[in-house]
Amino acid sequence: MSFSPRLLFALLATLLALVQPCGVRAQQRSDGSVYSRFGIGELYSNTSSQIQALGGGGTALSTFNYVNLANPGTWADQVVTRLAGGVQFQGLDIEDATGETSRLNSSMLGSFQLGFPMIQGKLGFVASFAPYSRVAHSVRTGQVVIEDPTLSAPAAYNIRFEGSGGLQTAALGLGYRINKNASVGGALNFNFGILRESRFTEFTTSEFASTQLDFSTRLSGVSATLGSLFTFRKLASDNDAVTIGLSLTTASQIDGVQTVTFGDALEPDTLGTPLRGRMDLPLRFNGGLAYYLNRQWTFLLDGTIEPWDKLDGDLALAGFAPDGSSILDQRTRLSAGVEHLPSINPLDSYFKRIAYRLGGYSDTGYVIPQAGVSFRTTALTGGLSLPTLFPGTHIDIGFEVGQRGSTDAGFVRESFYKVLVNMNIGERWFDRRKLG
Amino acid sequence: MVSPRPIYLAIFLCVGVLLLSACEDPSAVGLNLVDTEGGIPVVERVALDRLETTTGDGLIDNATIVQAGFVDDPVAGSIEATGYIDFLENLVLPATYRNNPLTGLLLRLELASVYGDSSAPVTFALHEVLSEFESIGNELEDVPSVGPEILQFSVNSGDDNVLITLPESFYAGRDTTFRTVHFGRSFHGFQVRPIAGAAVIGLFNSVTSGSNLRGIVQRVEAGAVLADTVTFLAAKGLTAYTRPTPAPVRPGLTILQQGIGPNLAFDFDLTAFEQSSVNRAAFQVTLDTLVFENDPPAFVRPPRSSMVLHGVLSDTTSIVLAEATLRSDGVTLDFDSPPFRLALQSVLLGATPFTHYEIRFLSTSGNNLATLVFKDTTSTETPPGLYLTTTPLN
Repeated sequence: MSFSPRLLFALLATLLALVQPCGVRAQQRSDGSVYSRFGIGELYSNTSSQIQALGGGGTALSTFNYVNLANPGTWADQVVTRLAGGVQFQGLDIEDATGETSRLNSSMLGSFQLGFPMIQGKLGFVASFAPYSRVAHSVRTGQVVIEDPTLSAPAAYNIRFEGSGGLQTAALGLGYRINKNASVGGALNFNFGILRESRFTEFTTSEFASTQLDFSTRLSGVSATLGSLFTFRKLASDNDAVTIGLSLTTASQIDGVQTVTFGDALEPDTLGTPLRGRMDLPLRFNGGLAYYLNRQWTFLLDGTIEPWDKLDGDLALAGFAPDGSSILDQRTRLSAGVEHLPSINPLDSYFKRIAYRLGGYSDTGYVIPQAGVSFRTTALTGGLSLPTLFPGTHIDIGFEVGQRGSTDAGFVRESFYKVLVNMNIGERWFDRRKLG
Repeated sequence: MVSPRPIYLAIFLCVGVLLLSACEDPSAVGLNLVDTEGGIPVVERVALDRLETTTGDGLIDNATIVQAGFVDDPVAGSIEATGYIDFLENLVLPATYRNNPLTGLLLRLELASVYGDSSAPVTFALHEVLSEFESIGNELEDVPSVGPEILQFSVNSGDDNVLITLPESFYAGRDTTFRTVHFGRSFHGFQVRPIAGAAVIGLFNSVTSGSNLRGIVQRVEAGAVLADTVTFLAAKGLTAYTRPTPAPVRPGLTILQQGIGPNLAFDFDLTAFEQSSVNRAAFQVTLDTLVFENDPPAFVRPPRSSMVLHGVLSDTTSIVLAEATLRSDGVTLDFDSPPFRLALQSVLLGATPFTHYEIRFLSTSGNNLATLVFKDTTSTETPPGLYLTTTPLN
């Protein structure tokens, strides 16, 4: 087995850089979309850094350089061991109908992927750890005066509503190439995490103790993803190809425990008995089309459907009650993107070896607060793939600029931008030396 | 252009991304999307659902001061105090003291406090205590027996101490008792009993320990008469109090006395706050200082120590919850502390079953009989009350 010390060092350093600060910050901060308070939070499309820059949908995209988490059917086409992970920074401006704005910044850990060929070009293995959803919001009232006769001066308080946490997905799977035109794959997903809604009554003077009330929902369950990829070559020219990808993530029954606590964050008191129940998360269907004009131009179309209106369970979530009253609806996501790699010649100039990506998407979200009002997200995506000294290893920088929701009916419009940095390492591991 | 090394580039970019994540600045924007019910704190005045005083007579355990005297307090009623003092054995008696006859025995009493008429001397009778007594754990019937009167002595309230020469008849025939390291086995101290006067005097303070018994022996050496003195420090005291006449009834007022009590016992009805978080708890009582304006001339009242709020459990153990702070108006006492707030929170959760609460003087052993008068629940202007700031949890 060949093993690069540099790769190990890069791997460890990257993991430390990514996991330590970002993981902590992602857990502690509540600085994202206020819409993430509904359901299980803001949903993430975990694909690859390449696909994220191409609109986030890539069910049909097959490439040797990335592990595509959207479709296990693409995992058969691996030629090197690949390790990828990244972080993202998000800036968010929230505006209401009165023109009042709030600005929040955050960073969080992206997905982490490990893939390697078990039989090169035939059978591939992938393990991944990725965010499934994220709850991160923080709003607070203005200051309210309160008078206590035992104090010489009035005090003031505000109430802060905060959400944090989210679900993560740890997945293991295989992709298998049936023939040169078709491959299939499957993955087992373990979804888990904690959704936390907190309410803080915060006083401006030390005579009063602030109150913290937490509603925590701990969820865990299993689902499966099945995918397939169909390849058709030489359609309009000798170099072009079309791939069609389909994947289905089964509905997931997840068990949950809801706990209400209050008091100090370090030593909270539990109120009542924790409530145990289950949720049936809906299935997710992805379908996509990719057209490869040649090795330099790639075009993508993709769609996702999740029937959140079928969500069932006996645990209450924001926007969903066990009695069936729900403002959750079917989620539809459409995306498109294009990638251009000016040169595939490793001896060409550096800028010619950079891959340039552009895309966009429209996501209805899965919350319909009232008829005629949606929390639709529309965004433009893009990015660069920077080659490095090591063939097969890339640094991907992506961006996303978009808007979510509207100020109609007392809601808010969120304008966001994201910067994503991904390390994508590819080296040959587990190969027997042929000489020496 | 040469491709950069991936590790440096990745670290650079990651650090850059993290530095960009500056701060969060939540505001009211988006409040419409949040379920904003609850979380609003309210301040309410909780009245006491009972108020009573605990008993105030008897013996004071582990008291700092031994007192004796009689006082007729126009506010608190009359009190008679009888003091008991015992002394520490001296384990390093010199041979010259042990081997020569006792020629004198002196009792030095340090005046520790004055309560009552300071214009006239107070006369006491001194008796020998005939049995060992304890300074703690006593009941009223545990008052030690005493022998016949040894002598009488008088004390002026302005004195720092009094030195009493015991008559030879007291130690004659048993002077070896006071010349042995084990003198405590056959001598158990003195009782000081009031005879005349109108004040209670502190005669021994265990903190300053300025009271003692001195034995003097004489010897002749090279034709010269020399004296050796050995001091036995007063180390143990007990005061028995009685109230010949109770405090005059004063409507709307409750009287506490430091040391002998009574203590102020009360309870709150907190059932309306059971599903609430306690943000602040301030118990407030008001003193009445006007009642002291009718004190007779030269009537001295000892200074009081601070007041403390206790929570009392069913097994009678108590927990200190808050120490009072006196406001600049000189009459309002506030009991407000984080432990008090946490204790009430615990009560609301059913975790700490206080049977009641008590206001006591900070130093229960500081029995100087300082007097406080509180306005009680019948006061129309400033009855005691708990001001509770709570946030309903639901």
